[in-house]
Amino acid sequence: MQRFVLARSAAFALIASLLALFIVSGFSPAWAADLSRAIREGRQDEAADFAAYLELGAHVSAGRMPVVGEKNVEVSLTVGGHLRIKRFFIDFLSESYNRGQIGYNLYAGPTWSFDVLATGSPDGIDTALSNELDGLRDRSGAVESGLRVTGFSGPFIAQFEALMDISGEHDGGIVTSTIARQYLWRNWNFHWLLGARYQSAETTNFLFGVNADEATERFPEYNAGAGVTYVSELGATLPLNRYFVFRGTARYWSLPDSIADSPFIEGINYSEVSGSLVFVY
Amino acid sequence: MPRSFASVLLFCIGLIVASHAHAQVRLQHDIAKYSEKIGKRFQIVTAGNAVQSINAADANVKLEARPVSCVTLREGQPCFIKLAISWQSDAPLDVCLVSDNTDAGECWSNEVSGTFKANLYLLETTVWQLRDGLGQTLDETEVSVAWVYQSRRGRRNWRLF
Repeated sequence: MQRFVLARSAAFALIASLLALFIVSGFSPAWAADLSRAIREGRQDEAADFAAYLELGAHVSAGRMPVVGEKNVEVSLTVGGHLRIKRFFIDFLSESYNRGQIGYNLYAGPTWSFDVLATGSPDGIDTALSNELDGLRDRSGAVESGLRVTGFSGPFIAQFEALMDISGEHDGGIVTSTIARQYLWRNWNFHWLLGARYQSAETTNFLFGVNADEATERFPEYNAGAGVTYVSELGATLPLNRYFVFRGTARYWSLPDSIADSPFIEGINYSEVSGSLVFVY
Repeated sequence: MPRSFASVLLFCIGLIVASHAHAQVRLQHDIAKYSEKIGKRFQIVTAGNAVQSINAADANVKLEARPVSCVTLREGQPCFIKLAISWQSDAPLDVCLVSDNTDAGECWSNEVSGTFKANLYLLETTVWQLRDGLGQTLDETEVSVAWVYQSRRGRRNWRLF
């Protein structure tokens, strides 16, 4: 049964990827980089010898992950940025699943862009998220590497990403397929984004499992299976002046059924609304 | 008799010459007179324009745009702006407001001030000029277009390394 669910999840991720790529094939060029960045800021210029900017932001978010003890409202300062030298790039974006990434652009054509990259995991489920998880191992240290393909078609962007853990933390894989569209109204840049992220059993187990060593009465041993997380996002970006940008985002996640019984998970659906004021230099 | 004939003949010749000379003088006088009239006419016409030009030039015309800049998120995006361009002068003028990058603009007749308002999408920095009937620029102002993120530029090629 679990194998069937895994196969179904993988098939869905594959179909979503192919669908996204199909939609953008044969269209005119647009932009590249991490999709969360590209849908707001436009395609990076892979042909530029040098490009760099720094982002400092004040971020407020409301909504909570379905994790025991997670806070409802969070205020934080964020640091992001982008550095491109020739075809090498370093990208940090707090709103991306891949918080930090370093890579090389293999090819940048009018419609397609191919990157190899290494990326850090997003914030994991650990004591930084909730003090009640004290005693469980740190789950935020994995580094994955792989290939990213991005397609551009006018206001549409589709991205396919296949990553494997290279840090030895979980040795699992992550396959992500995302499609997004941007709308311009006056100087407001609106967008929607739909994504599906397949995570192998090793990956979900690293994040949501409880191994024998760390098991307690409250958090008994648990093995999570492979599954697909779906994410949908609505966003708005407004330039306030040459250096300040407002970003508003509403997201909805649906976590895989395969982690629903994790002892520190209180549900598999959650949403978040956030706003940022970002200084760009 | 021959002497009398000769005298009459000389008198007639003199009369003819004198008459011709008078006609010449009169013609020259008329030419001068008409020339003067035509000249005055030209002077009047020129003076009329000169007055207009002098008025326009001396009218202390001021042109002002608000806001003076428009910021878009990405380079190349059209920048939306609620633009108001006002002008004023000391004397009534026939003027038109024109720009180098848009078709937008407005004309005023015999006015000492005016305001042009429009919601526009600007693709690049735009210069606005207030011109008189002769096409002479009385004043100009600039509305700049800037962006936060630089867009792609240049040509992409297959390049593995």
